[in-house]
Amino acid sequence: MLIFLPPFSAIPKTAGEVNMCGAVCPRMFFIFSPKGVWSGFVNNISSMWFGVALVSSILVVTIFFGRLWCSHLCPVGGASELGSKGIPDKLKINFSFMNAPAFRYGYLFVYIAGAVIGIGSIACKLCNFRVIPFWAGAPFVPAYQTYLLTSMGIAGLLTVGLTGFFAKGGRGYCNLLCPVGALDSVANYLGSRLGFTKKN
Amino acid sequence: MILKEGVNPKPIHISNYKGAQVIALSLKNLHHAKDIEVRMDGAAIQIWYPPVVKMPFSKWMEVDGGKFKGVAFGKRLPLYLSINGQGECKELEIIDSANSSVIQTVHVMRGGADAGHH
Repeated sequence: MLIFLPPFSAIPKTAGEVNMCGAVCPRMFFIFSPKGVWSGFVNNISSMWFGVALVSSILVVTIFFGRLWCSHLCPVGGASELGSKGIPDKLKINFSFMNAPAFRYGYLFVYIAGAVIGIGSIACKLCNFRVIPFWAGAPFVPAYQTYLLTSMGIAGLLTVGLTGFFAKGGRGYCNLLCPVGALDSVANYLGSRLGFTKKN
Repeated sequence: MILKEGVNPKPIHISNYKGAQVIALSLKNLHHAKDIEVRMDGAAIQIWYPPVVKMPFSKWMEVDGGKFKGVAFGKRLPLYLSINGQGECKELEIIDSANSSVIQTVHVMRGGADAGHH
């Protein structure tokens, strides 16, 4: 978490960024653009090159070795899980009543295709890779405070808070709303069908 | 927004809400200017650069309010412009600090896409 999140952001700094937005964004490059799916995708890859490389690595590792990113490395899921440990169990929400795969893949479909089919783009809205880094850096960076106090920021904090910190296990957002997690889940399924992959 | 000479930017439409508003603007520098100033009457301009902890031997742009020094070509400036709800339409000026020339002027229009000037 320390090497990904503000104020240290050691990994994002290698790409010229200070948080997980911009070139480091791991979730915006695979949104279909209404101005042209292929041309939009190519533009996104050039803009978010580090995020593309990160997600590609994550998926390849998952196919062969299991969900190491989500379980061991993701700073955002890790932060919500760690934060959740400090909250009494009686205050937590148990999301097991939901059909997680149906919700997860339905949300992923809307996330990827929403702009093209006319629903609109989710992109940065309710983004876990924005809210958690901004929240971590807010004591040091006024711009983060400004964003988190807007209606969009508060909506993001509530979403990540209720499905993260206040979820049983701390991984409600990861399980239901994270597009990278949903792609990782697909990669894990594909890897399990290959027969020669190593899984812990 | 693309910052490029000769590009005629479309107006930015904001609501005519009377309270404080924050405009999130992503400005991509496709201009030869390295030192850029962003000016809008009554707006406080914030950005999340440079980093809180700077590593040795790394070079980052310098930020002073709405003035940005050392902006690389192709770099995006993620800006938050905080304004109050008072006042009419505003003009957002983007200036090349090296020669104080105006690169672009963007009209910020209150009242939505069908609002007229007032």
